[in-house]
Amino acid sequence: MIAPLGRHVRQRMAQLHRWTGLLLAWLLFAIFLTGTLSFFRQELTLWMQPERPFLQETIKPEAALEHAYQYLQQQAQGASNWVIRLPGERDGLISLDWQGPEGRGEARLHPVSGETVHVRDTRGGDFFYRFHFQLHYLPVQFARYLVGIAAMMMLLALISGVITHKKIFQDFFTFRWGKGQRSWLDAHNGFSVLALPFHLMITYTGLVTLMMLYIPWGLDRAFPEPQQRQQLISDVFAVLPAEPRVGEAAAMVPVSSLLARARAEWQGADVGTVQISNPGDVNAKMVIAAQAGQPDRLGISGHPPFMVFDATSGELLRTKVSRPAYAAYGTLLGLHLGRFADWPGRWLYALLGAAGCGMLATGLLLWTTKRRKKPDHSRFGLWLVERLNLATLAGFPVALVTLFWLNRLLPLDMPARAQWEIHGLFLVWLAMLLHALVRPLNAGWREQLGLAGLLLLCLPVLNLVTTDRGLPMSMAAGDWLFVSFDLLALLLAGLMFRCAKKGRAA
Amino acid sequence: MPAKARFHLEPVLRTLLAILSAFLLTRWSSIAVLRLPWATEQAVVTGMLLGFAVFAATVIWVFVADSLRSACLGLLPPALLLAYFSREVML
Amino acid sequence: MMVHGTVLLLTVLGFLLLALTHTRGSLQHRLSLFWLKGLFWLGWLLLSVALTVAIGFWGSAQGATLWAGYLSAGAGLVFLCRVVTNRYS
Repeated sequence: MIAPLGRHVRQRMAQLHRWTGLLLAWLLFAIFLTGTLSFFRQELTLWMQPERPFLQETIKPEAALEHAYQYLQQQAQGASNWVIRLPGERDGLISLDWQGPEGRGEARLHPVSGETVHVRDTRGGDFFYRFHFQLHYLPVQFARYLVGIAAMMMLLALISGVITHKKIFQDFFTFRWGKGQRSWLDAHNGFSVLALPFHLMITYTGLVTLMMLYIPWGLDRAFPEPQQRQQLISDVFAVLPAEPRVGEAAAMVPVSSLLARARAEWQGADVGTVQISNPGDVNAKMVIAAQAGQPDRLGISGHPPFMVFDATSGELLRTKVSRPAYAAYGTLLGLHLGRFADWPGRWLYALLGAAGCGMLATGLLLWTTKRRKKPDHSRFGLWLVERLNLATLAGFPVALVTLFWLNRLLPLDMPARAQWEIHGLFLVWLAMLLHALVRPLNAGWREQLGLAGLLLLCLPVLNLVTTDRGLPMSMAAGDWLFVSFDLLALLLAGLMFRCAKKGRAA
Repeated sequence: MPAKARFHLEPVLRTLLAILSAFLLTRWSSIAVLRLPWATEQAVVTGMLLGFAVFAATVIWVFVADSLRSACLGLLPPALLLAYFSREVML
Repeated sequence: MMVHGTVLLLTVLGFLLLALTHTRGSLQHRLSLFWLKGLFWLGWLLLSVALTVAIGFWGSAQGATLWAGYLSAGAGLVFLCRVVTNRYS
């Protein structure tokens, strides 16, 4: 079953490329697709919560904090932890989260009036973000390891691919549009080489993001105690280690002075989050962190600057520690998250991410095309790959669009509504897998791609019917988020239909 | 072992070698970096950041090498060095 | 927004020139060697100008990052154009 190794380097690299590329390709496709969607995490959450008011006014952070404080003092007395996320360019509401004696609580406040905004129970864009590095239903640690291994395979596939196709840069400007194997190969080369810097960057930085999990040995040897590791994390990230309450009540210093101090320190950059541990206690601590996405003042680092204050006295306890290695980590993290990017930059990220999905998809289709031509190929291997291809490359997009459908259709007062939106996604994916197993291949591709196209096409209609933010209303109000979502759905529907028409397994 | 069987076994052997050597070299390099005259935190983070490059380079080397033997020989110097330096790290 | 458009335009023009003047490009048999070499290097120059514009407006980190992204996008657009023209010519 396993062929001997090639005699030349390029042959061996091609074999390595095929194995590392194939084994976890379907998982990688799901990761890449949800990862690409994650660049629009906030925007997708906004779309999935149409009850949110459409805000266009600029918000004063001090006023927003006032509202937040008032609300939290009423509703979250005795909490061990308050987290206030101030409105930013991408999310206009004040987000509150707290850890209280009865458990977690959360609320969204209108930034101007301070009133609670009731939104439907949904994970929103956060689902795609979390899924792409810790999947779903699986224990978190295990899933992260699995994703890590997939990313390592991807890195090897990229490097071996480059070595194999060393001449690609010369052949590049003379693209042959052939049929069958040749065209899948050319498409695969196109998607891979054009966005090669991005692919290498996103894969390596993705691994770096969870490097403490994947390469723990130096950390364990240098800092064997958990407190030491916690110290390292607190030096770089705006977290407050859990401390017990003293039990003595004390008034907290007005936060606006601390805000002003932070802004001055950060060249006028806006504050993003305020987190308070043990509010109202004499032991209360506050960490103020800058808003993401201000590259002109803060660079592209993925961990924004922060300051930790004693909340009762206002004394500055510590700030983010600066070291060359931390800055390097911050840059790599920032490159992966892309939170520094303004909206054209984010579209660029998404486009290149889509190219990555195209690279994986064309690679898989190329593999099956080549395999089918070999007279002595393993029938079971080919059958398995072809069915997995259909179920993943077509079936997973169907499932993703279903999530948006369920978001509009599930009753608002349904218990565990957010969880059921996601269960629905996976149930549909399972159905697509079963469909892929029983249908003849060509018909299966046409049907699943056609279904994806149909669901996408009707999504704006569904939006129009179930909410008051349909296309005509959004265009009139200048709500570009909703407008572009609908238009993009139509565009992607067209793409799906075109692929379905040309839909043949080879 | 007959040459033909070894011929077909080689990919498996190289894969096992790649996995083992990548793990060991990455592990040792992340510890050996602590020997550098830097602040501990600086060294630790640098070691982690570069570890994935060590991993990738090791696996690629194992398959780029002309034979299984040259793959092993090529791994020996970095392995011995890194293993030595990651022995007892005095902090 | 304008800066984004400028950088993209520069990369597209740069890659277009590189594609056309390359060994198997369309201008190969129509221009003298002097012009071919000249336009080829002009292509690279445009790509460098794009980098300069990017860093000038966005700073070194963000500038270099977005430039790399626009290189891919620009090359992609030129590539797509060639695919489309080859298919329908």
